[in-house]
Amino acid sequence: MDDNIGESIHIHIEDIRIDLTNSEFDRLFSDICSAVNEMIDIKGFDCRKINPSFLLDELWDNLRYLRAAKIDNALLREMICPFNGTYQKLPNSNAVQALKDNCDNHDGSILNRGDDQNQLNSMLQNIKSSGYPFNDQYIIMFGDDNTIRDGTYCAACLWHILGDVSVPVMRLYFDNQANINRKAESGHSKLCHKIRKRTDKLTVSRRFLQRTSYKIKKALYKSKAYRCYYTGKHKTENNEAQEIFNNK
Amino acid sequence: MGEKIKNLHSIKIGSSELMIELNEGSLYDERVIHVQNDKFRYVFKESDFWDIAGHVLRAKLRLDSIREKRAVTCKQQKKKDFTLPLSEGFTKSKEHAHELSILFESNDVDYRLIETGEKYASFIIFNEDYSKFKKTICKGSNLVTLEHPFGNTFGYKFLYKMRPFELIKYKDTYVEFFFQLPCMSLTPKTWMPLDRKIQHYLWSCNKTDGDVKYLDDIPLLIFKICWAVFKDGYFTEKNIHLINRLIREADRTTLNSLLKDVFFRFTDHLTELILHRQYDEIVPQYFVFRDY
Repeated sequence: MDDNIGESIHIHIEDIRIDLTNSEFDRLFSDICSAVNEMIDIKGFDCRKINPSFLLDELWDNLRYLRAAKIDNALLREMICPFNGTYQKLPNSNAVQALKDNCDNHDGSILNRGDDQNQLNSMLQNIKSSGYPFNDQYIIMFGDDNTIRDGTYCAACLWHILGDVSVPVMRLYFDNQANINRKAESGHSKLCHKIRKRTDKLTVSRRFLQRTSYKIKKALYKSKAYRCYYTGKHKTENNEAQEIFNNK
Repeated sequence: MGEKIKNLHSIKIGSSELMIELNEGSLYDERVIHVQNDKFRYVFKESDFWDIAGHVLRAKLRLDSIREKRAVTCKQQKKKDFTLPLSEGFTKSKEHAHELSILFESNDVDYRLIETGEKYASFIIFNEDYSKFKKTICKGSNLVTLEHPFGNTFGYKFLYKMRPFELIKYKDTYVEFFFQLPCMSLTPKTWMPLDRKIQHYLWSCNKTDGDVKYLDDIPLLIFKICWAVFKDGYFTEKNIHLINRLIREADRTTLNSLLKDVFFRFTDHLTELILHRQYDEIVPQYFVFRDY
C-alpha cells in the first residue's frame, strides 16, 4: 500500500507495478474472489461467505483440495470446540460459560487466544439483531466431524439464545481430509502451547529472569536513545526536549 | 502454452479489460493461469496464482481493518489539551528565535520561522544552505546540540533522502530545525517531505515582521493540518484557533491546489469540514474516505 491511507494502491509482482484507486482495488478483490470460486467450482462454496481471517489463515492452502461443500444440520449439543489443546463439548465450553456468567466480570482469560469478552458480546448482539447465519457466514466443519473449525463464538451464542437445537452448518470435504485434520490440530496445539507457556509465569525460574534482565540492560545501554534518556551528557536537556516536543 | 480449460473471470486494470484463464500446463507439471487481453499476457503457475490471490485478499482485509481501527482510535483519542498561559518562557523563546534569525541572516542562511511556543521554536532552513547553517551553529555561542525526539536516534526514519531534523538548545529555548516541510507517514515512525510543489511555494514567499522572516500563511496552514491529521491524530485547541484565523485570509484556490497534493479527492471535504469548524470529524472521516 502507498504511503498514505490508500488513495493509491500499488500491487508489485516481480518488476511489474499495478497502480489502482481504492474503488479499482475493491473491484479487483471482488473479481479475484469470483475467479477463485470459479476455479474451485464446487456447488455451494463461495469464498466471500467465509470469515476472511479463517479463509486466509486456515483454509487457503487447502482450498485447491476441496471436493464438496454442503449445508447440513448439526445439533448444537454435539458440537465440539477446540480449546488449549483439548476439546470441549459446546455446552461445557468456556465460551458458553463466559456468556452464562455475568459478562462484565470476565477478564477474557477464560476465552481462547486472548480474545476478549467484547468480541463475544458483539457476536451475541449481531446474532440477536440479524439472525444466523450472520453475514451469510456459517459455522464451518470439516467432513463429517463435529469439531467447529470456525464459528465457536457463533455456536456459543446460538446455544445461549436457542438452547439445544439443530442449526445449519457448512461442511467442507477435502481430498486430503486426514492431513487437514492433523494439520489443523497440530497448528492449534502449537498455538495453545505458546499461550500456555507465556501465561504460566510461575514456572519461570528466578535465574532465567535474572539472565534475561541482564541481557536486556546490556542491550539497552548500547542503544544511543537509552543513553540520551538516562545516562548521557545532556540527559536532562534531552528529557526536557522529549516532553516539550511530544506535548507541543 | 497449454490447452485452455476455461475462463475464470475478467478483471479491469485502469481502462484495460483482462481475462483470467485457466489452462493445462505444458512447461510446468501444474496448470497455468493466463491473465491476458489481445495485447498482453502474463503467465502464472497455478500455485503462484493462489499465492497472489491470497495476498490481494489479505491486503484488502488489512486495509479495511486499518481504516476501521484508525477511525475508531482517532475518535477515542483526545489527549488533554496542553495549553499554557503566556509565560516568561514563551516571551523568551520568541526573543531567542529572533536572535537566531538575525544570526542566520548575517550568515546568509535562508530560513523561515515556523512558530514559537513555551520554551521552544521551530525553523525551516533552506536545504541547499545546510553547510552554511552547520557552520553558523558550530560558531555560535550558548548553543548545545541535542538529539531531536523525532530523529534517527529515537528510531524515526526519513524517506526520499529527507534530511533528518536537528535540535539545539539556545540559552533556555529548544530550537528545532526542519530542512523540508515534514509530514508523518502512516507507516509508524516514518517521516517524508511534503510534495515538491509545497516546498517550492514556501520558499517563494514569506511574511516579515521586522527582521524576522516567518513562514507564510498557506504553507503554515498545510503544515499544521498535516501534523494534526498524520502525527497527532486530532486537532488541538491551539491549532484550531490558528487554522480558524489563517483560513479567513488565505487564498482558497492556492491552498486547495496545494492541499490536493496531500489529500487528493478528500481535499474538498477537508476544507468544508474546516470551514464548518467540524475539526473532530476530520481525522475519522479521512480514514474512512474511499472515493479517490
